[in-house]
Amino acid sequence: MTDPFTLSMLLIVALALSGLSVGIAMMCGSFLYLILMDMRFPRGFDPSITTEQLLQGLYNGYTLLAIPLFILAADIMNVGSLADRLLRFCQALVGRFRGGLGHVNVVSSVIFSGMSGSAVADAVGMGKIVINLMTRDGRYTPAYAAAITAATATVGPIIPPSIPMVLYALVSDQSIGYLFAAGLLPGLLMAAMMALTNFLIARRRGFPVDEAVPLRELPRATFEAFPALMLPVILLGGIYGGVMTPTEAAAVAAAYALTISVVFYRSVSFDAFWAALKAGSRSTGAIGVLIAGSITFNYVITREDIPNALAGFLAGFDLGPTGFLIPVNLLLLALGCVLEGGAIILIVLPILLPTAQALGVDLVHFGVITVVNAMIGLVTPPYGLLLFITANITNQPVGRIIAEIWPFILALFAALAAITFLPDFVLWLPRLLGYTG
Amino acid sequence: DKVELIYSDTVAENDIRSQILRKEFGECLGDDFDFKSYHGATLFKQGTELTAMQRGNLDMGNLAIFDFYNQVPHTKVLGAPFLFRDYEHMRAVYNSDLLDELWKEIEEKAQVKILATPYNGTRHLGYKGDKRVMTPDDLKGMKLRMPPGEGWQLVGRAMGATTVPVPFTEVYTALQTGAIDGQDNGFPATRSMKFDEVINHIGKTAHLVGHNLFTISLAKWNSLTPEQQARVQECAKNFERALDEATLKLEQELEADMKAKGIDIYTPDLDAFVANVKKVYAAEGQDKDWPEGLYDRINGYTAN
Amino acid sequence: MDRLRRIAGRLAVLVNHLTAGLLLSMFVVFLLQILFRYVLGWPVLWTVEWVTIAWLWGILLAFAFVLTPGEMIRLDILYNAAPRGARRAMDVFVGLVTAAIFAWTLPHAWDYVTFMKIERTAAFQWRFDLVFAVYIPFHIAVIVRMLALVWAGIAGDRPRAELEPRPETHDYD
Ligand code: NA
Ligand code: NA
Repeated sequence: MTDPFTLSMLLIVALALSGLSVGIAMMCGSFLYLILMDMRFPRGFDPSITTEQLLQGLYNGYTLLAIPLFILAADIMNVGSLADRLLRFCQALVGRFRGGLGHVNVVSSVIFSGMSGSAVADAVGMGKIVINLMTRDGRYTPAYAAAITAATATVGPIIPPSIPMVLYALVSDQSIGYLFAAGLLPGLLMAAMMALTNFLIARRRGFPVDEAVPLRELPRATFEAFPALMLPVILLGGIYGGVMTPTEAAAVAAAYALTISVVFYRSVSFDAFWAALKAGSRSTGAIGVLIAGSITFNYVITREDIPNALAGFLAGFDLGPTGFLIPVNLLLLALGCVLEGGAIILIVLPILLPTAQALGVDLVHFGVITVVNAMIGLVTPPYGLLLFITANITNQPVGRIIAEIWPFILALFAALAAITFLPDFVLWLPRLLGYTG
Repeated sequence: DKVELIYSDTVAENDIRSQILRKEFGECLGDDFDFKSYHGATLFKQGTELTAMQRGNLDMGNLAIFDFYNQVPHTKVLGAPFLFRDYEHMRAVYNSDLLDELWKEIEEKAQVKILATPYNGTRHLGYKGDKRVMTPDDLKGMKLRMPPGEGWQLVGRAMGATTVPVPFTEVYTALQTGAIDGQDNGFPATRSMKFDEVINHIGKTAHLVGHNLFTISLAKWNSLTPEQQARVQECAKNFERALDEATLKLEQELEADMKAKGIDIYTPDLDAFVANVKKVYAAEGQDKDWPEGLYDRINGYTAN
Repeated sequence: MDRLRRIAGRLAVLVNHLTAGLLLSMFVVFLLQILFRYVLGWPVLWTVEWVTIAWLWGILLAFAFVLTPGEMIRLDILYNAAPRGARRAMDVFVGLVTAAIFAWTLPHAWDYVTFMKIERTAAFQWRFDLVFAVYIPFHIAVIVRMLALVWAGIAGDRPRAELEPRPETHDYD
């Protein structure tokens, strides 16, 4: 490790902690490293390498093109009345049990995850409506409604499709198709754990049994929700049936959401669609520059041989896959307390991947572990994006939501442990689809 | 003081080819040199190595012929399918003086020097289907994966297929799901990516006798002493010999093994494919940048 | 300063329409690609190239001209917890360092982008210096925005509103 490298690392940390965009902070680090090395060596370290890496990295990342379209799909779903129809269906399905609306919250997140690749989109769209439902008539405290909404939203990018899995595919070179498939069972497990938590809390606190939607309304609710329920089937069927690449599937998801919103539910105006495009392009700019910044600093990390040095260093400890995965989980969870999910995947993973590979950890399995960790990071204080969003929706202080969310965080930890130590469980579906790892 | 040589390519770090490179080129250079190799496109993205060398940020690379198309259009002749009949023919041509002029043009225009042309395997048609593909007509309606990039797509089109640019890592799934019907890798890649699990025919078209251009930037080359230059050149040839030998051996073993495992391996009607390629290249004007008569001189060359 | 902010605000609205249009074009072109390839059986090259260029331009334009700091991916715990004086010091520090580094590297960036005139894209055969040209306004915009941040730090009038995170533009996690 050279002094310029150490200096540029320190600069990135100082700039990021002082509130600069993380992507720009990483570009600054990369520029500084090259400026300093360029002074030392006659050739090979032109500062323009940062610009070159940024442009070529964004230009050559075909799989990345799925990201803006998955973002757009979620935005369209959120402006249409898709969420309302889905919720009605979930209510008819599980509303009759104790803590019923809590279960509705869980199930609606699972269904929404099948269409959206983003946890935040789930909390902003479906979450907002389900919170209104739960807090109307004061049946649930706003803090509890916010907590369960934030916790269940983490399932979004575990069940396919998933923007964080696309980011992981970028840094690990694994097949998006298999990563998507590997997320399905873990996502359902997480949802089941949270339903169980809701059930236990509901019993202890004596939450009301909601007025049941009469069973005879179930067919109608199902019929109305049916087009929305079909999207995950179409997406996964299309990807595994060989009709489209995961990148194209993102466009199909957006087109499908738009079509059913316009044709079936008649709920999207052109203005709303244009607003979704504007918001989608802003999100794309935010995540795109983080990707770009991490690409530029990855060049520095590679040039300094950091990943190999770490792999060599850890090889000395004779860790097995388990001895590696436990500290990695702890590290990622700790980072999740201060960083956004995408940042964890893009910044930390490139350094860890060679070691994981050398230790014989399956990289698809590792991807699911990583994304689950990153999603848990969205609900762990002090920095948890989902906490802030649900606090904002419910007008509650974040502290009160944290007080309600910890049982769900424990449930997510339990699911994470199972996902970490049961690779066969995670890899069952990808193997069924032909994955040979 | 040691001479540092920074090298970047797209082959995986743990691939046998990377090991051969480090041993037969890197170690061969001896104590005067510090050969730093980065694999798996981790330093520079595929296809961006040439400009990185020209800008002084990279010393060496193992480039594809396509990488030179924009800057030295004459090189397009070297990417044409069926230019070389087989490995021996390819090697004989590169050992002759047929390409001296083209090499000089590359040095002038692209500011890089080609040290060797290591062989990386002959490409054939591997596909899933119920009957043999014998002619370009049999390829009609078949979705053939070719690597992304116009140079590759042209090759697939000229063969008569509907090309689909699927990324390498997604090819296995795409074959399995039927998103594509075939791909055009050689035996080594077919085995290492497990394509042989999902295809049942290999038509030995040998449409491309795959080789790279093992290249050093001219600025770096000119900064070396004559002794150092001789050493680099000698070790590059050493690497070429070793990789040729390893690839040929592997191809032979794998072909026998895949045949034994029940894959139908046969030779299609090559003349029909050659004719189709000529037709498509002429129709699209793809041969207009070829140096006058060079294709025929190479194609008809026999070592004496 | 207020007048500059108004101009920047109007520019943001305008460029946001442009980036929305780019996103719309990505969406439409991808659907066309599926149609061409799987329904009509035509091989197409230009579709991916268009989508890629729209993605690159969309990101750099949106980030440079449209996004508020609150919409960017930031690590703002320490910043938000700090007293006002410290926040102003942080703004000056970040602004000066970043503006200096980006100003220092601007000629290098310019050199790379213009150098790329020797390469062309695969399908449209567009010169790469033109495709990559969007980087230059992005790089300059970073410098200008950072100088404005220094000024806001000194004057102590950084608008709180620009730091408010907006959930609907964080929907990639
Ligand atoms: Na999802
Ligand atoms: Na939920």
